[in-house]
Amino acid sequence: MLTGSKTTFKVRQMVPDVKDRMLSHSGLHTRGREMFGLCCLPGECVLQRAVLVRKKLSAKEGGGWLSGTLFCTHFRVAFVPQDSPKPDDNADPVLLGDHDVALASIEKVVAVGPSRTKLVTPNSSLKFTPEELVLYCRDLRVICFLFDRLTPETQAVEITYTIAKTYQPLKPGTVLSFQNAALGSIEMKQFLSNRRRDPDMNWFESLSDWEQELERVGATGWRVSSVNDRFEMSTSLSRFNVVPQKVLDTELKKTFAHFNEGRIPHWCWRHPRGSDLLRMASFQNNIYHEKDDIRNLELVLFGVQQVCVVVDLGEEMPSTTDIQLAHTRLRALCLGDISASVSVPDDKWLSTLEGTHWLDYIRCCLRKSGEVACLLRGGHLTVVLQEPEDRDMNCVVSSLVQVMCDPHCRTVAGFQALIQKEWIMAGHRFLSRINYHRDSDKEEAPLFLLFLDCVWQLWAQFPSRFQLSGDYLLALHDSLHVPLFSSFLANCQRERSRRSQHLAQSYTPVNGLRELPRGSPQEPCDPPLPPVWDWALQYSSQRRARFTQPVTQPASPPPLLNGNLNTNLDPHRHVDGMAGSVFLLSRGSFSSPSNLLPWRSSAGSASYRKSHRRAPSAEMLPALERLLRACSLSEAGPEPHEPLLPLLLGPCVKVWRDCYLRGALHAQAFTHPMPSSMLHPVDQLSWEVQQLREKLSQASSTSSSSCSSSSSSPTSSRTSSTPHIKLEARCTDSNLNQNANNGTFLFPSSRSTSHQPPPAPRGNAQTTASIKATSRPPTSIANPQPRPTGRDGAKHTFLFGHQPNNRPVQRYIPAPHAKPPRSRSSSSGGSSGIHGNNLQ
Amino acid sequence: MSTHVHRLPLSPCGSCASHFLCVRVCVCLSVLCMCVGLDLQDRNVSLLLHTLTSLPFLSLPLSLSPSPLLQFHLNSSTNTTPLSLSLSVSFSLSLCLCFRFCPLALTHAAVQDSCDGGQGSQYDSDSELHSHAQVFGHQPVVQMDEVPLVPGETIKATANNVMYICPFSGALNGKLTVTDYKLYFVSLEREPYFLLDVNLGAISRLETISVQSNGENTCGIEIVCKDMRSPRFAYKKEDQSNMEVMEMLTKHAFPLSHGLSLFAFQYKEEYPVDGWKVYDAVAEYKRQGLPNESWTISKLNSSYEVCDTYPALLVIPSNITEDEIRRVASFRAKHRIPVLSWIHPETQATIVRCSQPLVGPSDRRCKEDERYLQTIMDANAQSHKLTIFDARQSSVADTNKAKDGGYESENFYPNVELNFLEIPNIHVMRESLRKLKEVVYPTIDDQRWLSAIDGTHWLEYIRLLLAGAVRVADKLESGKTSVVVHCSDGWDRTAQLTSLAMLMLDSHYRTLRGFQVLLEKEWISFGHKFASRVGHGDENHANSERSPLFVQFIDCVWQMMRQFPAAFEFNELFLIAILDHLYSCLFGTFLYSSEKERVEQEVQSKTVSLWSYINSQAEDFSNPFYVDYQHQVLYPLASVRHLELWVSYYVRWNPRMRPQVPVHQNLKELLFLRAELQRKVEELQREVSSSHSLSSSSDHNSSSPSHGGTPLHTSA
Repeated sequence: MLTGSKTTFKVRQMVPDVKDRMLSHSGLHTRGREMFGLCCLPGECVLQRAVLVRKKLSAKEGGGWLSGTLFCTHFRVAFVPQDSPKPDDNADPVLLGDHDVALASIEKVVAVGPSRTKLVTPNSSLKFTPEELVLYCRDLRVICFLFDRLTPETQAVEITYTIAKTYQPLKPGTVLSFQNAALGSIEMKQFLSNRRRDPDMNWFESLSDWEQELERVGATGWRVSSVNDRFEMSTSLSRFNVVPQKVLDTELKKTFAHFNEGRIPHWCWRHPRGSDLLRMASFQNNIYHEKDDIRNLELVLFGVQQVCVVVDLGEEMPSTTDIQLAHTRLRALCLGDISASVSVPDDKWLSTLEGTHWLDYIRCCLRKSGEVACLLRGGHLTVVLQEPEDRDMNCVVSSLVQVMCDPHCRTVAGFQALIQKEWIMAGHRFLSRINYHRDSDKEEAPLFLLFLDCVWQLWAQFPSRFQLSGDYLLALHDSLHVPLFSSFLANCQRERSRRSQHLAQSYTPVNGLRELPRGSPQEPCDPPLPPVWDWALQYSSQRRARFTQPVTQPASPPPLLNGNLNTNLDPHRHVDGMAGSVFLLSRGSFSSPSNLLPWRSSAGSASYRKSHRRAPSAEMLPALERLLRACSLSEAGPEPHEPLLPLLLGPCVKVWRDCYLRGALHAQAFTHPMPSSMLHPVDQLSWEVQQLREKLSQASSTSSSSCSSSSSSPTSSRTSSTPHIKLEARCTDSNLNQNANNGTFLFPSSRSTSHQPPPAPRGNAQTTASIKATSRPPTSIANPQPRPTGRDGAKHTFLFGHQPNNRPVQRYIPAPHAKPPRSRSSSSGGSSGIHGNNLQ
Repeated sequence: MSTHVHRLPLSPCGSCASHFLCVRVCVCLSVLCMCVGLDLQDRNVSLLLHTLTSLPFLSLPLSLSPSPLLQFHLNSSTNTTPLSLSLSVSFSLSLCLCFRFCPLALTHAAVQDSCDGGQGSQYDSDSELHSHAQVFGHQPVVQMDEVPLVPGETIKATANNVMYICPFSGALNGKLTVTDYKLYFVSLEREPYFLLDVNLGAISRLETISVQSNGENTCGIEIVCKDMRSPRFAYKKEDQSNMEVMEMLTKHAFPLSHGLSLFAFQYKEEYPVDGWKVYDAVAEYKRQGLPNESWTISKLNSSYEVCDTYPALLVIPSNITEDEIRRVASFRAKHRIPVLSWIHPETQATIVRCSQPLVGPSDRRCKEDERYLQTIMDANAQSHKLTIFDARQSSVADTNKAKDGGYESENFYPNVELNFLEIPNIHVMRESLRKLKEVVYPTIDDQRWLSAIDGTHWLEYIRLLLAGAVRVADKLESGKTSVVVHCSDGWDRTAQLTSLAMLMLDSHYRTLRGFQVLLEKEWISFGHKFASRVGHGDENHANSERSPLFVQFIDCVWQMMRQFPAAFEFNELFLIAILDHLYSCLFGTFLYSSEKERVEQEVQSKTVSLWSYINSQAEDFSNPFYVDYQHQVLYPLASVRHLELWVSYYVRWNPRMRPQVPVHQNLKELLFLRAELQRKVEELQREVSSSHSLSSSSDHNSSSPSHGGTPLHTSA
């Protein structure tokens, strides 16, 4: 195996190690097995391996090179750095390690020889020994491996071949074999069938899920209708839809025919000021409107309000082909010319970037969403997003509006629920738009990526208003390119549930997917594919720990989501039963065209015209215009429900560097190892604070007397106390993570006792990794000290908290002479400071 | 109507915060027309009320009832007063409100607004409010129309009826005051007040413009500034005071052209710290381990007769005679001989800077110069090569050769490797920044923004500089080879390259004090011609000697800071403050072109150093995330796709660029919190150990030091 390599110290060290491993592998583990130092998934086989390979680290990882061993399995290309902590045999399988890439997300394999560069395809032959292996991925990563002089030549050639043969440039049918490679083994199926779902997020799969959402935002006058339970009314809408309470199911049934694909106006969200956000497809124009129909249509459209604004997204937003073209150009720009490894010259970079129009489209989506957000802020309006099919741009805008306005949607759980609601359940055609099967090239359009980029822009402009982090967005971006997740492998809920029915070979009960029979080890049936939200399956706990920001939203009271906030736009209160006014928002201005609602303009509705009063609409127009104007002037204040309105000025919409520019072909590389950038200072800081808190609670638990004495003195300034809350929230969060992981970690607990000082001078990436591994969780392992009561109950935080949890409302009474943070040099003052009341 | 307002003797942003808050509430009131229930317990609220009640011009009868619920009544008269509260609070207005209270220079407030996450106006820390709340109320009340002056500043002229043509929100009438330090415009027409404050040093030229409206006798003037903005004013010619103001403006904006002295010599502020003591050449060389057996600190130039643009102390090879030095000096342009800038603590590889050799078209040689470079090479035992980086474009170097300059020939200098870094000259850079200004001020074309930036080539030149500096640093660090850097005269691109390379190599220069030393050493003492590059107090704006090379260098530092956010002890505000005072002429630091001139003008005794100001409030300028990556070499990615336009400096005058979220502030709070927690832990542990006698292990924990002030020095 190691023939041809010079026996260096490192190699000699490896040999007995490998033997040991091989011996120990005679026994079958139900969990991940270890092969040559790679922690394999159950059923995963190592096809080829190359030792003494160096991986080029991206600028974010600190640059330079990391040496280790390269593997190619049926499922992924894995890289195990030298001196990486020994994987724990009991750890749950993780699909992708920090340095791994799934075969399905590889787009091209390029071998770089001494004098030439070659694109390696399954059929091509390699006439030279590659010195470098470059993997171009669909998620815009470029991963570069360098074969050392000590790498056996055969290994270098073989692994290049193996990867090229197995990576399967996606074509119809290969997705299934890829899924089988990853999840096909019995052990894996067994493991998958026992996964539990994240209980903190709303999956919008059952009736109660929708009711929970209605309750969360305080939407009254709405109910969940199960009229589409068997997808008879609309195949692409979800099983459950929220409609006005006033409309009976029998009446509702008549409205479906009036809309494209039967996508009637369905409720998305309620603004705290009482406006409702709806979305719908375009009207079926060639249909006769009966009088009864008209009443029902108006009821469904207006919801509980009297004023309705239709926002037409069909014409002014970029089309799906535009978006696809822009993204293709952007990819080409960021990855460069793959075969030649040449990229756009530096001095043309910005102009070329501008030429892709990607940033223009982002600006366009953000602007439109900002307008809608401002409209909603006006209060007591129904804003209906309309798009011919209601399955593309409507998803983008409706979810962006909610990210802007609803702090809950800026938490990980809330964001995931939002995507469940507005994308997955609402029937965004993920399968066609992502085009996993490469069979619908015309349909392909990265709308979801556009949305993620828009969210990133918001995040980049208001980082402290988000609980989720850029790393999370990146992880979600990457997951989209791995065809393993049920979330993205169907075009609508109907398809999704049919698929799982089919796979499970059993009848799916009507009442949601939660009751799906799980594949028990005895039955030879497949569990459904995992949802993308099962992050523990995909990424290591270290990676997941970075999904949330250590510092979240600044001090602000929890949103008052009951629709009762005062509004500055006093709506025209109409007599009940009177038809309301409807306006069209198009290109930034309002109008009330007579043909906006087909039934109002059609000849058959003469009876309608009588009752329709035009006067109020004329009065309303300036008020609405004012709302939009105010929006451009206002700034994101401290109030939680004020929308985050991003700046759209030229310099403010930026390219998502961490995502698109990860392939650092153009970045200069130095052949000497470069020190990595350590733990991120913020992580470091939050970790430190966390540790101190642990210490503090430890100390206070040992001396309850002292704690109580300190807690009785509520000397706190508002400033100093607020971060406390956040941090505490963070603590509980991380505990949750650990629980979800069954309390196991990827490193031996013996190491956890040694507390290393994190910043190590000139440390390279390996040491950083090990530091990270040792420094993060040890506190929780080593000191399972009794947690103060009251903490365990509050799982999610008050800042984003929508659950009426049992946490007592914490109010801080500012002390008259609280010490400002700036004077921290004089830390002697005992009167200032941290008060015990949030330690209880 | 009386227009009184409390003057807050605070650092600018604190006062802004309170006043901005006040404005916000007013707006809120006018919109809602309702009573607001406020918690009087809240210190901010009470401060705010205090402020509100002390603003009689609002003509808001505020009934301060003792009950916690306070009621504001908006009466009808409010709507009729010119000060009625309007909904349209544009950011520029609130920004200008900040200027009003800035004790030092407008730029600070603006700076704090536009960068640093400080977001002076809206988001400034509550903490500052608290501290200010304590002094609030003891302060003298000043007139709204009174111009805040720095010590030593005097008002020269005032005109009451001048119109400011705001590119963002239209024309405004107001009062224009000219002092010997600044131009100060205040308009009471709008609510909130509009204030514009331009320090005269920043003015590049005054240009008469035509104003269409307002009758025949109206003149327009555009004040073209060096800091990327150009405010315009219109005034009536017949008004004597207007003409006087304009005359004083011309006179004091360009004092040197009118036989006056720079304002720095009048500035009388006293700071607790003396910034002139920051840089001590001997101490700095000693820190680097000099002198050693190969290098000596020479006093050869103590009377500046070897080279009048070099400092008095030079580090040169120890076995070179004075006579040889003089011959080398005559062979180098402007007598700028190769001298040591920095020495690697481990490998002894050095950065040596000089000017071009005077080779000339006939390929002159100088034996002493050749031996000199050989000696530099020999001083480093690790490498038998010497790398010369010529910052110029090779074609330009050839042109220079024809003009009696040139570059070292690899034939005559054995083991020398010559590289051209292909960096264009000062004129190209000036033109680039001029184009950049057109792109960013006053309006920005969103659709064409990126290509417009591309068109200026500014980032491209930043990239060239960074890439060059990375090459220098890498040669030293991994090649272990000594490096000689020069351009033509060795005071522009050379200074940029050596100081950037040193910043990459030596973590000391990445501290607040260290960076000051770096500037004092590489730029100020080694004779970067600040006087002619900036044109302090000089009328001749078309002078081709002017060029924003120092701005470019600071931009490079910012780019590095962005790529390594934790590696620098200072923050963005520090860089912006440096650039603002590069122009302001408030401090003596950047005046004159050489150490010799500065000694002659007695700058150190007659003016204040910028570092006095910076170091007296060092906390404002420090980065809460700073981690001392000691011995770590930073290699920034020098590719345009990894560079960014420094928006918070170049685009800061655009009111649409309102700052976003004060992450910075949050993190500062976090730091504070950590210090507090640490204290608390210790306190508790003391209590515990006194009562229960804890185990030794936790005692060990408690002994961990708490660094309240030095962030991120982990105690574990």
